[in-house]
Amino acid sequence: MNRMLLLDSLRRNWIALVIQAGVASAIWIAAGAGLISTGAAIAASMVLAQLSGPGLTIRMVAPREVLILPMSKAEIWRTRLWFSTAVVVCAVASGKLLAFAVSPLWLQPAPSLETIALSTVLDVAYASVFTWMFFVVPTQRPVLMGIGVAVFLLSPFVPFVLADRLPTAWNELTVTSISLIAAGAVAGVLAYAGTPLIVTAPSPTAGRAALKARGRGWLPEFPQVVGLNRLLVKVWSTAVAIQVGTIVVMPLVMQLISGMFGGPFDDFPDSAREFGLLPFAPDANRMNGVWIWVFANVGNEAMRSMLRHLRSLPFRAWTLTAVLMSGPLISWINAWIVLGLFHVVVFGQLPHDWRLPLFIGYLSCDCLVRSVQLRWDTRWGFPIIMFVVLPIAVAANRLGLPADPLLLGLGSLAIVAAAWLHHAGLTSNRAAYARKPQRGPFGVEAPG
Amino acid sequence: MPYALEIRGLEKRYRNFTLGPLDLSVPPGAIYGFVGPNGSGKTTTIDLIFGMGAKDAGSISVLGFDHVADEVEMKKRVGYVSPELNFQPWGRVRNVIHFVRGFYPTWDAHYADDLLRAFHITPDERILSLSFGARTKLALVLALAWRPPVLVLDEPTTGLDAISKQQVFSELLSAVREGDRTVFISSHAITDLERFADHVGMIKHGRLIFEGEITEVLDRYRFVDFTVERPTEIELADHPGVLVQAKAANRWRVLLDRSRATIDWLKSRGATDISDAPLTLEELFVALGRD
Repeated sequence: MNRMLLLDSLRRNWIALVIQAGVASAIWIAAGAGLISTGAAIAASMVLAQLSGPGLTIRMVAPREVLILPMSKAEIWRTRLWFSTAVVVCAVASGKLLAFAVSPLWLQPAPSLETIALSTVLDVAYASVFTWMFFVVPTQRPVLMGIGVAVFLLSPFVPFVLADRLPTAWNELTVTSISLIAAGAVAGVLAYAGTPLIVTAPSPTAGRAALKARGRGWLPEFPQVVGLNRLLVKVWSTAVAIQVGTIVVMPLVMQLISGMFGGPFDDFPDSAREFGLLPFAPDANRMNGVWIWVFANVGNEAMRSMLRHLRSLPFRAWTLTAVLMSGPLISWINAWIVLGLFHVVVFGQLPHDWRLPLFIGYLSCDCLVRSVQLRWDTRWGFPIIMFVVLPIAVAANRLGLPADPLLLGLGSLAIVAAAWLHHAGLTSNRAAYARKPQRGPFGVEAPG
Repeated sequence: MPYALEIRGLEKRYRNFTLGPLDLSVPPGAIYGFVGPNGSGKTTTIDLIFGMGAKDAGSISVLGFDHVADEVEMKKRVGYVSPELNFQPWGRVRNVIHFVRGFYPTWDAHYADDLLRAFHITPDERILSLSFGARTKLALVLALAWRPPVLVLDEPTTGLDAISKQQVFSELLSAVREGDRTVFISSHAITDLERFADHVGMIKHGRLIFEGEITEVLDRYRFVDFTVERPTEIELADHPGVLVQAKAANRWRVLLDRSRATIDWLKSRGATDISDAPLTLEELFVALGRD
């Protein structure tokens, strides 16, 4: 391990680590207050550690700027491994300890130290498994790579599926849970002992050469679709592919995992409902808005990265504003259609209520987040908007205001505000056109 | 006839840098090299032409069209190339071509194919697999294939090898020869610009130092070596049109702007043993660009 490289990662990412600790703290305070189950808090910790640990390593493992430094590739890998498991888990654990310390201040039960210790062991095990997966995923074999990526994408959901079965005290450990922790430990040791291909690749351009060798592609070309239509079709087709793929695969895999470990879901609709994929059902899980956000909010990132080119093309800034805002609109409309079709497949009939106010609410939040990012060139668009939206939601709830008219009214206003901010960003913020470095979860910065 | 590109009193203020006031005139049909040290404001100027950021003062017009009020008409006539353009989300070369050609009725598919062949890019290639230089060449294909009357190129030869640079410049030259096309090119390839461009403007710390036809500009400046018995360095250093380049004992080398100071004036200050020599554009760039 290289101390300077580790310190560099800490220096660059301390804000992200503080945020992770803050999120963990909030989760465990909520668990102490009984708002969520202890199992769910443990599951959330595992996901946090895994996403910000190995998820972070993906971006940071070996950029050229680091590869040229005078140290061995094994040393680079081990430093990254330390950061993405030990450091990240420590950040999450410090959040839990903070919850333990502050909960008694407002006379609410604190999570026990025993549960926190057990949860931290599970965090290390879960993060280690996915660190070891670096030896499998970044190969030049598309099938293995595809499986690895699919497993990685599904990994945040698995602990939640198993939340009710996760041990919350040492005496609850079963043979299965001990075996899984041991598997994590072995994976961690194996990962530490080796150096994956992602670091030892013979040439930085090897990936490019492999791409070149893959031929002309099999997707239809549709040369008659040109200009802005092509851009919008691209957004739409990406949204269709991801959303249809998700709605087919996610409940199915959750059902499989649930079956393997005796999890909480009785049937396919039950698991789909749990993940918010049946929002039009009368007994929809209304708390699972996050999954709908993740599900629908896809396909638009390309437009932002092409902004410089789009701005040089012959249309006005207002037209470009409309184009940028139609991206989220397309994704959300498509999401609503796919969710509606899924409803038909599950229940054999069209939804009675398409929940238009909820649609407007989601769409307006999405547009506002993007407009704040564009106007002020900030990566904190989502937290800023949540900081504005959540107090309004809580106040409306306390005052007993009807949700639907409020969502329709405020949502429409927010869409207008988002359009105005988009235009202001396009015409006045030059930084919006600069290339952005890739960032990991919670805005983690890659070195270089 | 309006200028192909006319900038008047352009200002843009940042916390640690101010562009302008900048005045710049590019005649129609000119190949205008826009040069300057790193951070002098070249890319800022070009970005402002395309509305990437708001100017604080001044006006920009292209072929008589205001860059804000007549934004669409202006962009229908201006091709833009920059290594900062990102086509990667399109996946393959042919997809970005299908996208861009939809905006320009004058898109010439045969010409685009010829350019792709000349640059050794195939439409089926993945953009991710293109080298840095090949991506810039792709940007050039997309800008040239619809034969715009004005081309604005921001550092198009950055990262290109000598052969590729030659290729890019020769394609640009043949594109210009075809019609009355104007090229505004910001570049650090000064030697190539000297052969290729007919007009040049130099910017430093956000201000234009000179502009004009290259032959006139080069004729205006001279390196002058001379000897002075009694040092008069304060007077020399402060005199407009004289930029001290080197001195050893009583032997001096200055850059003389002959529109503001003359060799006779040097003689009147006691200079003897005077010799003068013409400069290349690169020598002029280094002499004026140095702080």
